[in-house]
Amino acid sequence: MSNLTKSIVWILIKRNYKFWTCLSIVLFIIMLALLGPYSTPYKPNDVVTPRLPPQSSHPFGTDNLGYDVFSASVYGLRVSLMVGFVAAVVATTVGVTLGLIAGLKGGIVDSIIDSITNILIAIPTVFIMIIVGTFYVTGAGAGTARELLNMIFIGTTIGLLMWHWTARAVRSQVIALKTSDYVAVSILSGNSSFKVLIKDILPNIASYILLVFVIQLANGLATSVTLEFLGIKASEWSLFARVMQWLQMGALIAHVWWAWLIPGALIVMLIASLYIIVLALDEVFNPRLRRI
Amino acid sequence: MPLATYIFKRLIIYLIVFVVAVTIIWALIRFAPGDPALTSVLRAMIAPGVRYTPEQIEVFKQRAIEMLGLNLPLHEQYILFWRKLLIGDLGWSTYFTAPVTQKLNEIIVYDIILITPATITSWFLGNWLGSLAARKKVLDKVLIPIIYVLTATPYFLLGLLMAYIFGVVYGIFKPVITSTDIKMLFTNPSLDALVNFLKAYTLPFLSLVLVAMGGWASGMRTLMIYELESNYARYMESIGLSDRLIASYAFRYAINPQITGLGIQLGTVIIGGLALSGIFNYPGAGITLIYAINYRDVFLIQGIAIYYTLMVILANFIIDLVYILVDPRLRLGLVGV
Repeated sequence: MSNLTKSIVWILIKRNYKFWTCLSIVLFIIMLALLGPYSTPYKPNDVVTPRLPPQSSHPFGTDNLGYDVFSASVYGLRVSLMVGFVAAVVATTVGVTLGLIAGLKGGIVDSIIDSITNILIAIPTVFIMIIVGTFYVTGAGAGTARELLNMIFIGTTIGLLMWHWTARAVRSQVIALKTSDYVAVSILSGNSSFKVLIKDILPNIASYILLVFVIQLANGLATSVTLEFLGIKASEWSLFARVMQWLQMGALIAHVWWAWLIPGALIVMLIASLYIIVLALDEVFNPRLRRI
Repeated sequence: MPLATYIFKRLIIYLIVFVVAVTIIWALIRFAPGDPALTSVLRAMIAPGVRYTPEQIEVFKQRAIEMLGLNLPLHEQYILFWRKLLIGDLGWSTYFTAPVTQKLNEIIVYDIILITPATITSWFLGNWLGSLAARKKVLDKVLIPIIYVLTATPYFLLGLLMAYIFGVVYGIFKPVITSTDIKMLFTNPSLDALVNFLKAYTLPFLSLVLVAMGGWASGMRTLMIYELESNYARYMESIGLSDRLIASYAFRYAINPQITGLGIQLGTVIIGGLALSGIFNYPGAGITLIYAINYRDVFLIQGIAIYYTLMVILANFIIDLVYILVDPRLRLGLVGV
């Protein structure tokens, strides 16, 4: 990227209020997950008086079973964020690598990756996640190594089933760049294909990969909370692991709305902010959408 | 490529996809730690509350192993699995204490009743809203945040919100559905049954439509913006054609990826529908799946996975056929895809 493009990007980002609002929401929720557990005296499995509305000692109230919703939310956010983050990292790593190979090499490697992609698109992969989550994951206590392992395991499973979005996106970008003049010049001047990849192609699709990573993060989060609700959880206090229990105890009828609405609003705000960040960055990086 | 060859080729591809998907499901369950299939069969054989000697347990275990064919070589186990699948034997559900196929045949009808109309409605509504947002700047400003928040909402959360607001606070609809609410309309149709059906059906239907709509609208908005900035649209504009006419041309181009997108998004919609119907206790596979996961009912989970995989693949094939109708290049055999 030349200096001129860099400064244009910076000017556009600086005045994009959507970007800054959403970035602060995302950072706020991440801070909540990181620091929240230190600010509450309750552990997520401490039972206190049930069905207390939000008040000073319980900022988010307590739920049907008597758990403090604030501590359940911050500990739960840690689990869900971790699973979503691992999923996005795995999907991006695998997707970018395979997308680059498919785009550069073409031929039989490309067709193999393409067939895997088509299969992953045509089947409901979530059932694979459910089978893996039910039979390959065992329960764990808070903060144990087992809990961390479960998060990484579920995250990796989700990531391995959604890398094809990244791979497809990267592949099409690489194919477009491969035929451009400056790459031809670089190849003609004797650079190895690895050097062409690192010096000429990667820097030009870096911003694009960033966008796809953020989208994958949002998708990974959405998938992980839906799985939690269905009963595939990395930990006993995953953010929405108790929703089904509350429903069976009549939490809706008992008007205990804060127990699900507050963590729900947090996760929706987080995912929506990630989507809007992508939208804002797209307006900045994509010359066709720039409004100068 | 002639049309028939194209359709035949798609059929073969989907057949391969189905075989691969079922093989993955089989392998994941076969090689799961602790052998859940064996445990499940043993649980079905052993009467609760009766104390057995270790030798008796061993006898049961041997019988279960023989029943499942676990003593056979691996490739024969795989063939046995397919042979059973093709005659519709998906094993025994410990949760229902009934054969899986028999139960799922009942359940899946309810899901089709809910998911198919909801998906189609949300697709049309979303595309219409998205193309409108791309053309009208004022509407765009209002719609973007709504669309993005809707897309970002996991289905089950919107379901909870709807159930609480319209089911509990205002009490217009039923927050918790029983299977008779839905069944009555078909077994014993009357005005009362219809009212009951609508009271139960509206909320899951609306939630499913609302969340899915967000995705279609945001996709359509982006596609339309690109089309409206393309050269042909600029040309039409410069010779003074109306915005409406230009938009109708752009729409024809923009709708194609949305049709293929329908097939791609189906997996997400389905799992959303499952989670959502879990909230409302809708008598479909959603609530069944949640119980199956809790009870580690291996054959039931496997059954639901295979049924839904088959449904999604069939739906993909139907979408391919629709695509042929919509895209004249394919219909006339002008391009080989």
